[in-house]
Amino acid sequence: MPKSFRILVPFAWLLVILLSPQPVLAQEGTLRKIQESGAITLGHRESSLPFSYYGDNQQVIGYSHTLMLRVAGAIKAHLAMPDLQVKLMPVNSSNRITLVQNGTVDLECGSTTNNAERRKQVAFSNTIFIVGTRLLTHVSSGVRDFADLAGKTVVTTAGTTSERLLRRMNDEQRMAMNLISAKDHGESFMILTTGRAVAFMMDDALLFGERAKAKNPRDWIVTGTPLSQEAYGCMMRKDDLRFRALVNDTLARIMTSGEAERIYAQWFTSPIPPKGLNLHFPISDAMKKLFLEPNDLSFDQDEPRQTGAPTPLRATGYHWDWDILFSPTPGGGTYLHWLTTGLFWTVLLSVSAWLLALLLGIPLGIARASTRWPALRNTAMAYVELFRDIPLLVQLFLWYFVLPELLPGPWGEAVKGWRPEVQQFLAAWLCLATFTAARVAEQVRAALQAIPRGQKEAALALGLTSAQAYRWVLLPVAMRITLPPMTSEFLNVFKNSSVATTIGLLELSRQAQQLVDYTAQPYEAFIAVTLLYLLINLTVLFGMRRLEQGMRVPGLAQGGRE
Amino acid sequence: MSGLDFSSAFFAWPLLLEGAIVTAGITLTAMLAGLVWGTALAVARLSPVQPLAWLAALYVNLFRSVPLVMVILWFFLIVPEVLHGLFGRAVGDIRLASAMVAFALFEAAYYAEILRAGILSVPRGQMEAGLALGLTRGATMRGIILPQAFRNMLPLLLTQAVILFQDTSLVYVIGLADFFGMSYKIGDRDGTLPEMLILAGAVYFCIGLLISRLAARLQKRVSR
Amino acid sequence: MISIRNVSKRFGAFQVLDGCSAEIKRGEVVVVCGPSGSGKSTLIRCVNALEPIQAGEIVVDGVSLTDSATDLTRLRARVGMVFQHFELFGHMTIMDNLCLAQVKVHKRDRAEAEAKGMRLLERVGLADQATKYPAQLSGGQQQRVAIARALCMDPVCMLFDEPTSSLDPEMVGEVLEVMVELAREGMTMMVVTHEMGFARKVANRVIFMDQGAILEDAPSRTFFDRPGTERAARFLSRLLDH
Repeated sequence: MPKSFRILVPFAWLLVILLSPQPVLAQEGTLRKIQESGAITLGHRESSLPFSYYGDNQQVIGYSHTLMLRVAGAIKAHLAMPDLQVKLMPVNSSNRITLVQNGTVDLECGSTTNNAERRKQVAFSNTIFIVGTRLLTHVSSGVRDFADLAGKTVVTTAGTTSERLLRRMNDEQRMAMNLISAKDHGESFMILTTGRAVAFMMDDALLFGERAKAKNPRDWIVTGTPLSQEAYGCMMRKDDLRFRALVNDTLARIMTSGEAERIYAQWFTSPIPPKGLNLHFPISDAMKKLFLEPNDLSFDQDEPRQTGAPTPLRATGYHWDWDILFSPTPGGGTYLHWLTTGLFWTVLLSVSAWLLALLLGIPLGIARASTRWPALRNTAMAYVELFRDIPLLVQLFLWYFVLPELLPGPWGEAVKGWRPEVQQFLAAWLCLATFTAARVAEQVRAALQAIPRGQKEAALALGLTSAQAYRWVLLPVAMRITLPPMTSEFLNVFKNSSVATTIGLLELSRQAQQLVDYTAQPYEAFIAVTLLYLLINLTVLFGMRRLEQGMRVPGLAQGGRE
Repeated sequence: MSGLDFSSAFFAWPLLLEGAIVTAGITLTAMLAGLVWGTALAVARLSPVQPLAWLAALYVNLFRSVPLVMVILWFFLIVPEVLHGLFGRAVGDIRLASAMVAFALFEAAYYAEILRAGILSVPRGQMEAGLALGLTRGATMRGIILPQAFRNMLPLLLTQAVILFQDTSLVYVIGLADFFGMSYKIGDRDGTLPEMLILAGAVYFCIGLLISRLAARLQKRVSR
Repeated sequence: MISIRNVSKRFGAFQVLDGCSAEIKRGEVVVVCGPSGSGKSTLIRCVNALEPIQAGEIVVDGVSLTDSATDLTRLRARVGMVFQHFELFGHMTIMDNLCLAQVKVHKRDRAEAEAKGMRLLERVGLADQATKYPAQLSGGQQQRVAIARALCMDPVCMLFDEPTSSLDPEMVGEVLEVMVELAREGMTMMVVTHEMGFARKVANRVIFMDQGAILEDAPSRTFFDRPGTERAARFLSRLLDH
């Protein structure tokens, strides 16, 4: 019991952190920070074509990126620091707001929609682009507008406004769509092109960009009446009027001087890297108007827009808000409900993967320790090495992305036709189970080899068959030896299940990131999820200790040794 | 899928090399720092000074019960902000630094457990013999117990190194381009993701196999 | 009962057994001795087919071990074996140890097996230990249980592989007592041991081995009084000197 207590202590530790006076994020002003550190960090996207993405040789390029570099140039001039270092930092939809908030990134120009929720956490510059949210689909899919999506699988990128719109539409209009939230636009597009979704909903300009990446762009069309209009802005920290004014002035100058239109033409109506394709996305009236009269109008009506009237500059700290867990999500229910859903998936995935891992791993371990069948032993060894020496993450991607492509045509199609949660769950389940089986096999082998040879000989000498010797003597002993290492393997399964976050399964750590996207309250989300993992850990440890006590043999020390 | 196209890997080898350097950097830093810190933790856990043993146990248990993904995210998103608040220093691109710190602190917890077992595997008589020769506890630990513990645990330490090496691929979640992240990006850019994933898997497999065979051979030698 | 005909065995380049031949008749007690590494343990393990042999033939109770049609499992059920390290099954009670093979191999029902087990425990003087676990018993007690376990199978002969070598000196006696009694009851026994007192007292014959070969096979009195080879004489004098 004292050991269990010891593990409880992290809770106390975390409480101390939570209750101690929080360090106030010194809002010394971005310009001063830049001046003092001699560097500015710009946040860019990795696959938001053509706004901000990697061209050839991993160079960041794009429409928004060009604008951002202009702004950085203006800052250089303003501060009279020709040697100012410009650092680039890739961000994604799920971490961009946090990174701006926590001071890692000073300015982010990519494809971030200016909306009310985000304005609570960060400030937006003048609008740099106006898009409509539409659909990308195969020409032959039959999907022409949002109404056609009922009952179909639709992909969108996690943490975007499209994701929220799509969820809300699905709930309100009972369209019975299956929604996949991919990690970034590139992944969303891959899910579309590999046939796992019929349509990809996103900002139209991005859809044109993804279409340009396709092997045959003419197979894909952007369609549907825009569900919403979105205004992209650059993000920076809140309440830093000096910095924001400098950014806005620079952007306005670029727009009114006609330079912005040239930059537009460069990225939207001319060939662009990496494949030299032309997006053919002519400038819209809304954009023309924006360039004439730069502004920071956003298109969500529920919040009075920022007028630019100076708000008093004040030191802002982090606003703790544990109530956020009990407040309603866009799709109904509370955020706490998201966490319990995450907990459910984590437990379901881990426990089922563990059972399969035992089922596979124990025979493999026996085969691995076999002295009589070299072929069997070598096969088991090949299995163990194969699954042990490839990172779990790579294995997961192979199961999820590559395997369906390698299956014979109709099979692959059938797999991709399943509900997305089913696909994600199956991939994660098989991946975790086969991976863990290799580890279980090693533990079983080690235990069997640790049993003195005489035990098997004694069993055989009594006339038991080899199988009976395993069943009644060797395995029961091995089981006791392996119990402690198996406990930690079992705990590893829970921890490893968090890797499933990368293919979009809504398990616990994915929920943490999604909670951050939606609420922009990273501390609460991460602390809550960490506590849940600790809770799982304690429960398993407690259960396994009970089991160990139940199996203890009088006169023997733990682990079955004399 | 008709035929796999590995040409993008061929043309992108400088980028892959860049990624491999990041992977190697994180692995080696975490291994060395983790080993030093882990040894300290293991000794502390076995220390007769109760609060010290207790704190070390707390550290080890805490890090061992949280998924690595969460630790990486903590050190990337949250810890810098706390430090920033405490010291008022600006932070730049901390992806690599935060990953190295996260891995080192995380691995230390695992190394500590291995080394603790290693220290316990050295017969108690060795410590008594050291003391009987007039050495201090610390000197006996350093000069007699730890070398034997390392020797006994070398195979396990190597196995853990393979796990660490593979786990570095998880820096993917903070957008750091290690070998895997770079392979993924190239595959994404050129539309050859399946090929690049297979390639990355094969490379990890070869290196992992190499080290774990070495570990198995050492295991045989140690247990002989 | 046991006939060993020209048996040879090698581990790689190392010749462990070199043309060994011996005959053990029903009711005979034969002690095998020799310096360590002489191959005596290997020889006795071959008789139970725990080690394969490369040349020669072993026939136990009319059944050839080297015949591929022989069901080794059934043969082993009829040959009792006692090991140096007892090899009781640590996760089972003493009674479970005694019953396991009776139930699984002889298909006796549990009550019958327990009754038999209890009779044999009484015989080795351990009836009160039936519900304990092996680790709770002393070495001598464990080895007596191991003998009882082998007897539960109604063996036609018993093999002992250094049954007292890993016992504390004060426990050797209680195990030998059980073995002497067993020999007096007429059990066919092949015993690898250094206990020359036991050999003198109950053995009909002594087989002396060195470097994988049987150097002597003589009635025990002859062996002790007038060893036929210089090697055996040296071995005996060294044993008796201490």
